[in-house]
Amino acid sequence: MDMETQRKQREGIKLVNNMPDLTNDPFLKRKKQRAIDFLREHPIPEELFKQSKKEEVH
Amino acid sequence: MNSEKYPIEVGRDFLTYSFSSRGPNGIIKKVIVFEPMDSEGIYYNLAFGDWDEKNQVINDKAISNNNDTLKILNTVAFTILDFLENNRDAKLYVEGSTRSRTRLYQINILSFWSEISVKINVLGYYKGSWETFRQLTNYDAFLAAIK
Repeated sequence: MDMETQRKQREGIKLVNNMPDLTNDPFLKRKKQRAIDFLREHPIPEELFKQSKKEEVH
Repeated sequence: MNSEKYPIEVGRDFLTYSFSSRGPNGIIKKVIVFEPMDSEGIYYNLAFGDWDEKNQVINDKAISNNNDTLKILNTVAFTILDFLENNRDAKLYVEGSTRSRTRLYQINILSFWSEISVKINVLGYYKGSWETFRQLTNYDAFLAAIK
């Protein structure tokens, strides 16, 4: 058992090989496109994340 | 995040998680996907819904009424934290498929705020701009990243 598997198990998460293939899932495609469009229109304010990190340090 | 949650499974891609809701309407499989939105693997979109076994798709409109909303939200919150802790440069975009579901995410963030705020930076989108998450504001969407 590799370290990642052991770590996941400690955290109560089981690693599995039979997760469904969601590559072409219509809901995922729709939701992803909506998110991309939204973030294109309202870009992520990287400075707010940086600011929060800075506040943590001081 | 020590509240009651369902046992969780994760696929080998470490991006797809699932668990089974159990209640008066039976066992309902839920799927959570952290979908990359860029080739660098920095920006991710959170998707969450019921697994439709027959059609092999996620159903985001299903209302399972299994009397376990809090346990489900606890489980989703746990997977978000697990994902962010394992993808420390990731920025996660979170928006419900309806306003009421976005509101549920907000309730969940508030429920765990004392724990979340120590580990995660949360931004909310409100009235046309992003801002640092404030507890009494109803946001349209969220961004989360590990501190």
